[in-house]
Amino acid sequence: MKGERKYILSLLLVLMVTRVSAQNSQILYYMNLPQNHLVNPALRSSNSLYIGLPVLSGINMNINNNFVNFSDVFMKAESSDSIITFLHPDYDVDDFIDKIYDKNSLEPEIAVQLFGLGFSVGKSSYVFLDITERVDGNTVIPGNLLKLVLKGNEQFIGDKIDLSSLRGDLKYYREIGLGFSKDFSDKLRIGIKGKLLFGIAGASIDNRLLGITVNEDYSHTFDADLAVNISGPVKVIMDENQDIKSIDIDDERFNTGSGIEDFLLSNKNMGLGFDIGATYNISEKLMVSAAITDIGYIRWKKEITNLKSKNQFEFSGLNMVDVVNRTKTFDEVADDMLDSLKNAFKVSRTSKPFTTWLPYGITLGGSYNLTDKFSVGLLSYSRIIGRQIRESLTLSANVNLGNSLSTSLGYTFANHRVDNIGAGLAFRAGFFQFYMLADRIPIMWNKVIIDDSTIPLPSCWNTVNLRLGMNIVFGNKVREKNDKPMILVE
Amino acid sequence: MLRRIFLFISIVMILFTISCIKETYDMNKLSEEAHLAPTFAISAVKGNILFSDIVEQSDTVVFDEDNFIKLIFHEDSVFYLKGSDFHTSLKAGKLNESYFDKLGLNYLSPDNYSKGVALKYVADFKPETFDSDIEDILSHIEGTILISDPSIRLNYKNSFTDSIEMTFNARGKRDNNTVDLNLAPFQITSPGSGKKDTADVFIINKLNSSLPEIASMLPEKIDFSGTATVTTSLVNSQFLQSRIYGSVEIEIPLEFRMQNLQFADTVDNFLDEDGDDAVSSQDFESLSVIINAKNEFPLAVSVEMSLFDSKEDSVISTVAANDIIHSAPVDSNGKTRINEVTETTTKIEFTEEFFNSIEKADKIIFTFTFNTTGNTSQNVKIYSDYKIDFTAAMVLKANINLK
Repeated sequence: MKGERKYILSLLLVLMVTRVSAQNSQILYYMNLPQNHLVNPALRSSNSLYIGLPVLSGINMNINNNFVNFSDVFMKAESSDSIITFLHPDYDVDDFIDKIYDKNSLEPEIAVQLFGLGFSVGKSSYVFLDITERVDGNTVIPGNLLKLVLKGNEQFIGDKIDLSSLRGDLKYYREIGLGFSKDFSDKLRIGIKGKLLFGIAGASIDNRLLGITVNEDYSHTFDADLAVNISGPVKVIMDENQDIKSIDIDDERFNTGSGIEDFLLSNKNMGLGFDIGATYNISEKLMVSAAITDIGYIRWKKEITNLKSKNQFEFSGLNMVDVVNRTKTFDEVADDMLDSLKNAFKVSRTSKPFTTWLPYGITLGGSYNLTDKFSVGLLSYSRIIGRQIRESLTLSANVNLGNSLSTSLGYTFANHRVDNIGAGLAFRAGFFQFYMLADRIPIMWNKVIIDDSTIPLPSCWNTVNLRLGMNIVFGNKVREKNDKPMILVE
Repeated sequence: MLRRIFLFISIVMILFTISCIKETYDMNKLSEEAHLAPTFAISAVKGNILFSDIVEQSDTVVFDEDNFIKLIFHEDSVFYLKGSDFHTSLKAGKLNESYFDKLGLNYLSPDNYSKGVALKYVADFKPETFDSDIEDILSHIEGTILISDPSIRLNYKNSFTDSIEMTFNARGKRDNNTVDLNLAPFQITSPGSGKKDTADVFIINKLNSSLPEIASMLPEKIDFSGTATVTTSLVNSQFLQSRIYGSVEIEIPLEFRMQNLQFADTVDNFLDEDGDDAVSSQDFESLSVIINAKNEFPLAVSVEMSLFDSKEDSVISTVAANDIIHSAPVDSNGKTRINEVTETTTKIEFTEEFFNSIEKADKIIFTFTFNTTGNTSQNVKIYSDYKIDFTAAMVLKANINLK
């Protein structure tokens, strides 16, 4: 029991310590690292050649939620030394509700670079290739749903409990990107990257309409136009009434090597994507840049399950006319109503291919070189996920000593918070370049004791963005009179 | 410049490496207490119910052409008398030669028993009792109701040619109270010349009797009795073969007035039953029932629900909803002014104190109080097309213990 508790608590902690908004690597943008073309394909490092080895080259992890922090869920009791939750009778749950947004998101993202290669071609061109395994998740829990569970529906009388922002996407896919960048003039550099996407498994909620209208007379109107699309080893068992009986993971295939291979190397779920970006030197010291990244989609065709429900149902109470005129008993009227509700939202199952779009980002940046090695930058990054836009603004100070040492210190305004201090550090030892960067560094920590273990946790994280890895790099000849923060090679 | 760079790097390193502990959370001391108290509001029941949905038209419940409702009760063969049932006031017995001999009267012939001597001959009805069969319901009712215009149709068929005077008695009974009809004797129509018999109706109503008082007492039983009196000087075989028989039809138009007419009933405390479906006082912090009604009936209803401890013989807690349904306005004839009927909303609140008392009570007393529009000042009429359009919603503040 203790072990289970420890496990559950640990999982909760991982999910709750983070409060994040737009996820990218703002700190990476102005660092002299080969990976900076991931945030703007027009950017390049000062190396003439870099090779990223599987796994070692780069791991990028984001786990984000924008609504609860550890201290929002667990707190110290005022009258004792106990730890209580926000559901404890001594705690005012309204304080918790005040922290809930209209759209509360949880966005885990893990990217592992399987292979990376970048090299200069000619004087100003740069070609790069990346193979990356990516797992992207995006869940939006409507604030109204949480309020409904915690406080009930009375607060919505005469209003609509809008749940149309409910969303859930989880994608595991492989990205093979090939791009190049080139100086088109002394001032303008443009980069573009095409991507071939191979979906491995994915699930997506297509929420076109979901809501409950609570009328003044306490009647309720339920609207749903919802589909759950799954591509992956999932078995949905329906009973004789075509109701869902169970949903199981078909894990037998993973017992054999060929089964695992078939799962991981399938190319039936294909998609395309691209990044495009540009930099422009207004003067020797001032540069502006822009990029659009992760425009793309995956068309899922393999092992498809679509579960759909679309209807409207109005419940205004059990009609007593039949009971009064003795044609039905009260129990029969209640059963009829339940049958109607069940039939209204009957789930149908199909196997039609579906498409998921990648969340894409728009970056606008500007940097000013105070010296040839020290610059300050301002970066705006917008991440568009369906109908949601996440906005962040980063002010950074950057030091780039060729590629022997590159550091950046950033201060990000994001997600209603201004205490996001991030930093990055990269240094080179021979052909090896090591780097680690985070968009938000926790300054204050909490000590969490579970059984006999002590786990340090950030007291308030607005962003968990950790990128680390090692590159093999060659060449670092900096062209004179180039004031760009990403140092071009002749 | 180098100094600035080193300073910058130092800051970065410090941020990476230096941190301080803000709080310590010992999760081994995590309280498992967890509680939710959401408030849910949901419409529970509704109905747009006509009177005719509640009570179907039948031989007893009759809707006239205007949909006005009358209750009609039939009692056949209230009396059946033949000539030989009659006797003089001097001596009872069967009319025959022996009878007249004992009277010292001249017996002439079987066709001419007492010619020339006019005597009063009397026959008694066999007493009948009309049982309303609502004794159990009536035992729960208290208060005042005035049924304004009931009537009894006395349907009879008569073949006596001589004039008959009838005395018709009715006595309403409820508990130890009785009310007499107080109907004066009346004449029965005789068949005209050359006719064998005749059928006619005698109406008993508020103009000639105390029938409204009997009806308004809501009698459990009505005893009927009476006599028929013939004054004749000729008793012959035709007289002996004559018959008079009749039935009654009690007609109660639903035109009445009520003031605080109460119906009370005591049931076992179903709120404190064990079992999966039982309602536990622990499950709620509060409960309200909101009733919204558009009532076309000129009848207001109030409800009281009392938790009762029969061992202590005391009421522990009461929830009262006055005028849970408001009465509709009526015109001078007592008919609802449909266009002026408005929607009314009533909230019944079940308090925490009420829920806490549930376990102490073994009985629940429901008391319904009815008042007609205008109370004692006006009669109201009930029509079969009156309806009540209502919804009842529950607002429930749950007490969910997640521990």
